Amino acid sequence: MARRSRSKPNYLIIGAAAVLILAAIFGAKIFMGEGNDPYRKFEKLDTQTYLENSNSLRGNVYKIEGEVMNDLAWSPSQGRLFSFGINNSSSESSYSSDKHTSVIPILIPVSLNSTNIQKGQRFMVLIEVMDNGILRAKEITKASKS
Amino acid sequence: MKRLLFFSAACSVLFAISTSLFAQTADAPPPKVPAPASGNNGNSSSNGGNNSGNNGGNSNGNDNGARNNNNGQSSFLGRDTPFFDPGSEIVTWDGKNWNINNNRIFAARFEKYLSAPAESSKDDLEYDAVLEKIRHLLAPAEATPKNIDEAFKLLTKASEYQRDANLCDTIGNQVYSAWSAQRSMDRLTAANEALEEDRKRLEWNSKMTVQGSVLDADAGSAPGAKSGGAAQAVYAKNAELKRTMEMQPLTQRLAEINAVLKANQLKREVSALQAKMEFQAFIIQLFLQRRFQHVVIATRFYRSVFTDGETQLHVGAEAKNLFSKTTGMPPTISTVDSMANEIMHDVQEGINAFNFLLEKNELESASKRLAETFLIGEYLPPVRTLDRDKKRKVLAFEQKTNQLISAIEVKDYTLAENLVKGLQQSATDFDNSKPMAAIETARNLASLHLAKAKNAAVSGDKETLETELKEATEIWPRNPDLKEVAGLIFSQGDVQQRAIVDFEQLLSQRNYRQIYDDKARFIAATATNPEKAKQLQKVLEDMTQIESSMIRAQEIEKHGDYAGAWESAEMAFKKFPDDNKLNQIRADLTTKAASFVNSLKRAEELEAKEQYGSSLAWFLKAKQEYPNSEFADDGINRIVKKLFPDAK
Amino acid sequence: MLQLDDVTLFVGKGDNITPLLADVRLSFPQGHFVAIIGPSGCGKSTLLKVIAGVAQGEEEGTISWNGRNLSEEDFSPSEIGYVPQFSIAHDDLTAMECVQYAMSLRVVAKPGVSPQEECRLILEKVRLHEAANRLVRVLSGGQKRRLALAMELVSSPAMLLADEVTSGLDPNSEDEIVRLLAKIAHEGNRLVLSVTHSLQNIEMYDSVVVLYQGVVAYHGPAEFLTHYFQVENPQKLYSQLGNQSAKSWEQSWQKHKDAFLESIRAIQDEDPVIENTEMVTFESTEDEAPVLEESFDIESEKSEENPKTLEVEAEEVEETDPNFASIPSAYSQFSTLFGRRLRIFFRNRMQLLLQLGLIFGFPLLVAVFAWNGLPQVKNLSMNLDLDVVHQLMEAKDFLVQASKIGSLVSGIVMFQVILLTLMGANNSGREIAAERLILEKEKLAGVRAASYVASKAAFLGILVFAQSIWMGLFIHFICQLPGELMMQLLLLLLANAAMTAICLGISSFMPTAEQASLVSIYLVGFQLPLSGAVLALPQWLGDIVRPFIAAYWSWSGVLQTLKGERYYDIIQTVAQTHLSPTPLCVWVLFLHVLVGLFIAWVGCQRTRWE
Repeated sequence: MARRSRSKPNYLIIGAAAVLILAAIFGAKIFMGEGNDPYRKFEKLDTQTYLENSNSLRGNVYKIEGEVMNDLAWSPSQGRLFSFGINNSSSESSYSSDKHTSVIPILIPVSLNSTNIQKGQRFMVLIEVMDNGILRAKEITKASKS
Repeated sequence: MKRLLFFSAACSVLFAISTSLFAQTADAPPPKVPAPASGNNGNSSSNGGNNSGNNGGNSNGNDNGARNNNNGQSSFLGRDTPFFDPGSEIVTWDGKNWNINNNRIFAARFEKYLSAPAESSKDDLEYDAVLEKIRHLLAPAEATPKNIDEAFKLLTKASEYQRDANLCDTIGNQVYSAWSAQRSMDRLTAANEALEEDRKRLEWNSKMTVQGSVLDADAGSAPGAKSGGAAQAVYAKNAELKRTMEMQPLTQRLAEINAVLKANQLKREVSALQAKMEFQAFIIQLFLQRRFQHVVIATRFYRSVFTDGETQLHVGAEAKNLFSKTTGMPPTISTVDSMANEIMHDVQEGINAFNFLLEKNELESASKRLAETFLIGEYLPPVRTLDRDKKRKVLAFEQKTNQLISAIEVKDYTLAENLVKGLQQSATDFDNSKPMAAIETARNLASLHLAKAKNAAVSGDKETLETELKEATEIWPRNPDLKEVAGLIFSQGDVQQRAIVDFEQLLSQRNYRQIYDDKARFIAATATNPEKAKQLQKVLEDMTQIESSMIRAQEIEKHGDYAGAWESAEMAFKKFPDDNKLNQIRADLTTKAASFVNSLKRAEELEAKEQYGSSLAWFLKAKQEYPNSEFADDGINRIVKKLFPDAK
Repeated sequence: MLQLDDVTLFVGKGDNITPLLADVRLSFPQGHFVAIIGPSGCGKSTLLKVIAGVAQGEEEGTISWNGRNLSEEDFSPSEIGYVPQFSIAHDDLTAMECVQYAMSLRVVAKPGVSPQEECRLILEKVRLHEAANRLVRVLSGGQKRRLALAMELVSSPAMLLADEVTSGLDPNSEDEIVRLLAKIAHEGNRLVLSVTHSLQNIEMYDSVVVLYQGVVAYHGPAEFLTHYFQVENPQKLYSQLGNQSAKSWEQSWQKHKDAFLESIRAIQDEDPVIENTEMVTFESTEDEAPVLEESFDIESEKSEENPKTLEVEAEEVEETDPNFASIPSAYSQFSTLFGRRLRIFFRNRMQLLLQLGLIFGFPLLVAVFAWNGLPQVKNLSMNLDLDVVHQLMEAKDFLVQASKIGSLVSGIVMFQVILLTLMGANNSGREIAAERLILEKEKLAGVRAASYVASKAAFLGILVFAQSIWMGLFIHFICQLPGELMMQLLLLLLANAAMTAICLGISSFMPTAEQASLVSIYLVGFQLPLSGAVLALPQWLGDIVRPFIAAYWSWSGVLQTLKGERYYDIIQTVAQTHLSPTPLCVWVLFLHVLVGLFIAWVGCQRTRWE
């Protein structure tokens, strides 16, 4: 080997590459979690439990991800009530058969009126279970396809 | 001439057949018992009195012909000799007539033959060859003593074959006994000759004795003449006595010999005649048994055994008549021989004709020809070796015709017609006119009666209806039209009164479905009763609603939309919870649309518990499963109204 | 004093090992002008590269410079000058500029000395001052060699290696160059090793090394060459060499060397004319004649003095790297290189126009698809009472609309990104590979790879910025693409930068500019299909390739900026591939840039003379 090509930069290169890779992985981890799920600190709503007995969940805050289906009601004082299609099995993709989808009503309060909600959109919603079992959105953001 | 000979032979043969056949048939009436007046064939005996004039025209025609023949022939043949009339194929014997093609016993034998395989096995061929050889050896030109001996030896061999039924053995025995008879005659002749010799000697002895005594008498008288005349007379007297005494045993012996001689001669003549008669009787027996080959063999042996040229038949007058009357010739062994040969030839021709007809697919004629041929030449090689397949064709035809006859007998005209059609197709010469005529007649009669019955039913004339129906049934018991007409009947009655009673009863039971199902009856019944009519109207309207929702449910179900179907049924059910049919459909659909129904039920339960969120979710689930669900829509609207009174 | 002991160079591996040089033992004093001659392929240039420390292959033996083993401590860049046979200057610079840049890259500006003046003097020295303001591209072959010499002289190295600097020149120019080299050697007390195949001016060299098939066949004064090889004139030398095998030439030289040199010395003693040429050190290391050792010692002391003083000087400027003691700081090099790159860029009209064409033309290409802005999205009715048929019809219509508008928006974004990556590849594909030899030369002369890459990054950054920002703004305003503009611009910029950086890395590893740009274009070609934006990839394949596809991240990130818009939902329904969150996209693209630059740096570190 020529003297100039076997000099020390080899270690430098390996070191720099290692640092780069570590940084990449670390950064990717942070950003991936952050970007995909802004409510990752919250538990997912178990739709089955909710369907069986909403009383038991009263007052809790959950997150859900689902597709807007229908506009059920609009109350000037309380907000808009939508039905959301929730994919039960997390492994299945959103366009699997209807059988894995349960539909639940979510109240979008007046405070979130600015959000344009249209049929077919996918949202991640932070919801609170109210006394009468209705789920009221605290925060809402669009979800990307999982 | 040939034909005539054949017929006569056939007649004689039939005698044997009929006797043997009737002897075999257990349920056949004894021959002496006269058959029923119109009894024309074997069927009549087995069918008893059923066939009172309703048989096919076919048999009737035969019947008449047979009767005529019978009358015409009775004068010279009497009723005791079987008679076969080829014109009508009727055999008459002992006061009974039967058609050879239609005789059950014969038919059975014939069918057995038809289904038997051709006897062309090795044994059969050998047997035929042996018989042929014997015949050949005994032919007039060949009949040397040596050949005769050889033929005699072959008889033993031939009798070993099963088909021979030991007839050849019997022939051999006959020949042997004839020969021994001849030998005993020879002994008698020899004895007579010895006796004759004896007699001649005795005659000479006695003559000599008479001469010697005359000499003695002359010598004695001469001395005695000097001495006296008286002494002379006494001497003569003594000489005479002495001669007589000497002659006495000779004469007696001579007389005895003569007597024995006469007796022996008589004896010999009787023995020869007896052997002949035995042999002849045996030949006739073979002839009557239709063992024509054996007849030929036996006659030829006969002629070689009895060479005196005397061939007159020494048989009973009746048997003799059989031959002489039909042939017009004195019955001799030669006649029998030639007749047997003739029959054999004829059988061959019959088989040829059969083959030809079969080729032309004229099954009816073919089967008749075969039947005739079989009747006569049952044991002859051409018949025995007939190809089984050909026989099967005839058999099939025969079976069908028999079936046809049975069908007509039991008045199953539908089957009969089908059979006629089938027969016409398989046999080109099948004459369907007679059976068809019978079938058509029966049908027309039956339908005529049925038409009358229908009219009577319409006009309510019960009596006529029943009579006509009975008539029609008797003519054609299995007439398919009968059921239809029968259905028309017995539906009359005083319905109105009953209907009103039923209606009230059903109404009180809330059995609206029954009312609906019988609505025509009740509408008619309540026509005059406005109050009941109104009630009925209400019931029917409700039921129409139930029915239509049921139909709708079933239609929706057909599309696989069980939830929709259930909802339709459920809506009707809420209104009319008592209808069983609706209940059943609803229950069925509840299981099929279980998930949807469950969702709705859960939603309603939770709604009742005021868990509106979950309830709404269940309603939404139901709605998702059946988007057109009105229940779900109603539920959602209800809850939304409760939650958001100001909702728009 | 340069001394080579048993220097051997192998190339190849296993059974294919070929020695290019075998047991070379040579020794050269300072101020000496040496010709290395021999037939083609005898290892002349290889010997130079071995001395310079840039030869490819396995080396054995030791090379000492002034008593120091070079494998332990290499030349400092200012100690050595290397004049290759190819042109080492940018065509778009003037001769003066070349020398100036060379100086500012290699030499720390001394206070009180005008670099301008110094350069002029150097050009004068090589007699190129008349052509000082001409572009390199119009210089003649001889002038280019002089320029090369001038550029080496800026750091006044103690040793100058000249590799066939006279080849392809007319005899007159060749004569001049040789004279110039001799002058440089004798005036500056430099060791000048000149590889040449020309035997024309052989008598002007102080000594001649004859290499034959990797072995030293002769090392001695030129005038005894004919005598040793027993040829009439030097031109017949090469044919004479072919008469014996390399082995026997080597043995013969080893055998007769001492006696031969002895007799030469005797002759030299008689002839005072030649004395001042310091022929005394024609020796191999084994020679231990005390007389020679003395003179050797003197020489070594003399020459060692110089580096020492230089080192002291360098320490004042830059304490960190003793190797680069005498050279300007990394930043200084960076700014020099950056300035030079800009100058070259603006001087090349064609390239300038092409860049402008790309910057303004490509956005037009994209805008064509939505010149009148994007269509509006008609929403689905959300009424619960709607009957199924109506709902299905609506859903169908919506799907049609979604696939149209969704594909349009997604397509426009993708198109933008792809065109930017294309520009990126075009920016940097040739960048390093095209001037690789210059880089190698400059690296030898002390230019840092990092500075070089940084200068490239800075220059390309300007291009990338201009291209991306214009593209982003144009599309945003012309096509009315909604969403956060700043984020979109950042993502577009990063896409372009990522591609540019990666292609710079490729360029640094590719042997030729053509190959580099070809690979770069391939890489762009892969962007669209492997992004999954148009057709979904199989899950596993997508997961594997996606991290490397800059277009995907940019596309995905830009689409995420539309989150607040209806378009976002529609794209979600038609997009075959799921979109990643914006921060992740930015991060991945940023990593691409880093990795690309890192690769470029690694690639520049490597020596690549071919």
